[in-house]
Amino acid sequence: MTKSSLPRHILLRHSRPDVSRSSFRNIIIARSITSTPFHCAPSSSTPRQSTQSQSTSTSTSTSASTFSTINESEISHFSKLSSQWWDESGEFKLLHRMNPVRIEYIRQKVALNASPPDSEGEVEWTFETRHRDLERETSKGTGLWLDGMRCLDVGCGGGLLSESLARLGGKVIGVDASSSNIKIALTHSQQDPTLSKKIDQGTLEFRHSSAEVLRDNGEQFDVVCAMEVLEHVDQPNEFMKCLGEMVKPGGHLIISTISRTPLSQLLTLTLAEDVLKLVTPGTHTYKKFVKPEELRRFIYSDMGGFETWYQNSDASDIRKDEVGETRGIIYDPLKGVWRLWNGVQGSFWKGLGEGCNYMFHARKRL
Amino acid sequence: MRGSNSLAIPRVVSKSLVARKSKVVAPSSISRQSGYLHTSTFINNINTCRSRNAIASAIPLASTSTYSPTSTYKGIGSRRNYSSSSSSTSIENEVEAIPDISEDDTYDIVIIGGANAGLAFACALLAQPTIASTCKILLLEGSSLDKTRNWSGQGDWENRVSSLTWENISWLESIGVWKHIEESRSCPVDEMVIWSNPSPRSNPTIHFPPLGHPMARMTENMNLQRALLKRIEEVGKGIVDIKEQSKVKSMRLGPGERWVGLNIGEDKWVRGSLVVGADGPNSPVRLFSKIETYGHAYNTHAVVATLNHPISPLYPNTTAFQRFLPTGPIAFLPLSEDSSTMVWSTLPPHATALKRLSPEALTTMVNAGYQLPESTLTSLTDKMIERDNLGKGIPLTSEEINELIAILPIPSTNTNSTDQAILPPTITSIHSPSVASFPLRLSHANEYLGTRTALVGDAAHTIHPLAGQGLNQGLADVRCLSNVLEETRRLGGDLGIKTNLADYPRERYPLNHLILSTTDKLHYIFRARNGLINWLRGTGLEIINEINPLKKILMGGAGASPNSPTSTTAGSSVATAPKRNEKQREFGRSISTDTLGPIGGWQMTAANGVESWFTIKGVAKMAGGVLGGVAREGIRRAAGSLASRK
Repeated sequence: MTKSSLPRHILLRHSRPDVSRSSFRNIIIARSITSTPFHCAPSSSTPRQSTQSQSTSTSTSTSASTFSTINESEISHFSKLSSQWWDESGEFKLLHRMNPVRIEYIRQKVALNASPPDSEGEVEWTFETRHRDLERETSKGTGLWLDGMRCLDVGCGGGLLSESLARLGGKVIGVDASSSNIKIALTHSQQDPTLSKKIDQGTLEFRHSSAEVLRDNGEQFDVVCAMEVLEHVDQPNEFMKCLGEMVKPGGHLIISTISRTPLSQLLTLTLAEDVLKLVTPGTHTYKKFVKPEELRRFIYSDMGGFETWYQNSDASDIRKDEVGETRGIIYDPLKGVWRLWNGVQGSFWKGLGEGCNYMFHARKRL
Repeated sequence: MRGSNSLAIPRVVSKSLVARKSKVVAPSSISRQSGYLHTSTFINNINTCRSRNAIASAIPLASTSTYSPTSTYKGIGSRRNYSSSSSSTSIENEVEAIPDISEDDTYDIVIIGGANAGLAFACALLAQPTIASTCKILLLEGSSLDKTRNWSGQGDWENRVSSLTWENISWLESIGVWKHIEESRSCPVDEMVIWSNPSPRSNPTIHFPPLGHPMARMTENMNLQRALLKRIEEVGKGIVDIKEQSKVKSMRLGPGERWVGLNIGEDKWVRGSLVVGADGPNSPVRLFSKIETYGHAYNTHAVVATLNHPISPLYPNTTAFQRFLPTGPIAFLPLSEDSSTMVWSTLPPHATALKRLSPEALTTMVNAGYQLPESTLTSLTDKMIERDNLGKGIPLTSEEINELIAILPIPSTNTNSTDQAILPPTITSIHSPSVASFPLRLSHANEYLGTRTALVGDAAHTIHPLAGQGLNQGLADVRCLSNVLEETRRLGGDLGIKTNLADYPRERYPLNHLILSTTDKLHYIFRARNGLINWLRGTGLEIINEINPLKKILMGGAGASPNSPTSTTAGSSVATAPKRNEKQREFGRSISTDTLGPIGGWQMTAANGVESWFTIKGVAKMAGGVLGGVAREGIRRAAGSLASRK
């Protein structure tokens, strides 16, 4: 891996005390992802080559905007479906139901679980109020808990997530590669009295653009979200790096995607697409799914590791070569809701819950 | 209960829609049918209800997939006043465009109806931190709330009195409403006696003894509404706008179904992301949402009146009584030391006849209703109907009733006087302006959620008052919906879409349905008079009366919550402490905190189980040994006798 592919501020922090160990680790990573979507650009045979091609494209500023991880066939697929984005009982029914749980995860990470350096504005713990820990904790996540934060929703589609983030007070930019999606999202938001005001004020914005273009414009965000996008892009490694570069120091990177397991094949492809036809067949490709550990290891090895990202604050978590937290979300067909899966890191249950859909979170160091 | 049976006639569809849909049903017939539909809803006749259902199935053909500008309901009055447009039946073909609605008139939640459910919903929302800090709420009420606002808490009792369960009182305390309640006008119900008297020799009774806290409190609706209103005025400034005397003339969905526009007066429009219908049993919001209801009318009217009786030197007036008569239950609910309220559910002609009686005659009649044996009472009411002659005759006077009681045969009572029912105090007079009656109906909306609408309280369900659950169900609805909305808002969701609100019907619908159907069955079980049912019911009641844990469960459902949280508010200790003096207790232990022997619980059950298992094992072993010994002895003797024969 070449250092030139990393942004300057990461390079400054990215010191390697033990070179031999890290190179060994890189070999493991390379082996673990040779057959994965992190490396699915047809032209390159090794991850090293692909990063090199990326570094050449970023080094020449004129060609930067031409590079994109967008997959044209995916875009045409979702453009065809764009009219159905806001049909609660249609194609995106499951996505509508997943939206609250995604926001809940963001809330837990961004509002409730603020790490120590971020403690400004928090109610101080006193002996008298010692019984009210839970109350204090929840009060952090009520009201406009995203107030003033700059949020990016990559692959916003019809704007499901963007609208919610905007309602919570965030300054949201929704980006999608399909112009018809952007049109739908914009129309839908303008019809809502509250959101149309936000559009007028500029706190909610939809752009027909790509993450790479924003990155090249030097945009920085407090919260960068890419929900159910990673499994639809070409070169997910480049896509991830691009997202990582847009996160402000102290900001959050939140991803949701699908794991590559027999379970996900059964649920997402066989059941949801082929048998129950909840989702149009062809929406997902098994090869493009990403396993949670691949994602975590990639952040560690290729996106600056603990030098750039906080280690998980959970004391039980003793992982050394993985960055960020993954958490499974499972669909409860009886209640018709998605749930965040609980489980201790490294246990069998945790892994089982992440077998299909999961969320990923990592926080950048200040 | 509101006594307003006039109608809201929906006028359907625009020209374009009619043109498109005319193949299905002709437009005029839609209108007439739907007019008929809602007329029949309020005629308390089961037959028309059946035909209503048949017609109802035709309506959606014409009205499904009609959304936003094309579908409109006109003539929506307020909850209390439906009469404004009931006479007009013309079809509204032209749909004028909704004028631009300014930001000031844009709300997140619009509550329609300023009675118990609507006001309680506003208070519930104010108690939710995210909602209170981010939402704009509008409460629309068709009439003036001044009467509620200026209610003094003194003078005559209102005839609209409801029982508030312990659970709901705790909740009202937690959201800061209960401190505004006029405590002197809210009477605790410590005990409950339910009995019937199907034959002179049987007196099945259930007696619910005191729990240590009141099972419920009898509270005038006006008292509760004033407290709710005070709370809204206390903390709702800038969050909840109250618009009084503004009847909703029509409702229309905005483009993309992102909001509901409400026309309140001339050209005045407001809009909201979610419209909550707390607008009573004839809910215009429900009509707008095209939500059908099902259910049936009971062929029963409830007569209510405030009763006066002397203060008893022995018993505090904190016991609720209910007697099941073949015509329906008659309840005696305490209001204060010397007054109580009556709810006599009976056949419509009986109700009319009762209302026509003079106050003195009604006093005698009500006493007879509580005290006379059933056969005598039946002959007496038959005579009353005879004399009333469908409202044409001269009603009985008090003296005549007394004479009749003297003449009519009274069956010899059971010799065992301990089986005698515990009777409510004899009343001395009736506050005549308080006498009123209303028809009873069971109805349940098919859904609680429409397009950007939600139904709470009586708009969603009406119930027979025999268990006193109507208002309590409404408050539970309101509590649940406010929690769901808070959760939605905290996650930035759109307040009006069904995906986000789905938890509300998921939680409330089955519970409400359970209460509705249980009450419905109780009504029929207790009305029935035939030997087998009498025996089953009598035995059942006696068994239930003996099983205290079961009674606790029943009370948990019917009134108090056994594990309800104790109040934390300092100013409201009255609700937590039983008002009665320990020495005044009549039933049960002399001190309520005394325990009767060791307390059970699952540990005791487990220990008993283990013990009985060992006992059974020991007994079986012993019996086996004995049997084995006998068999062995027998075989030995047989072998011996065989051997001796040889």
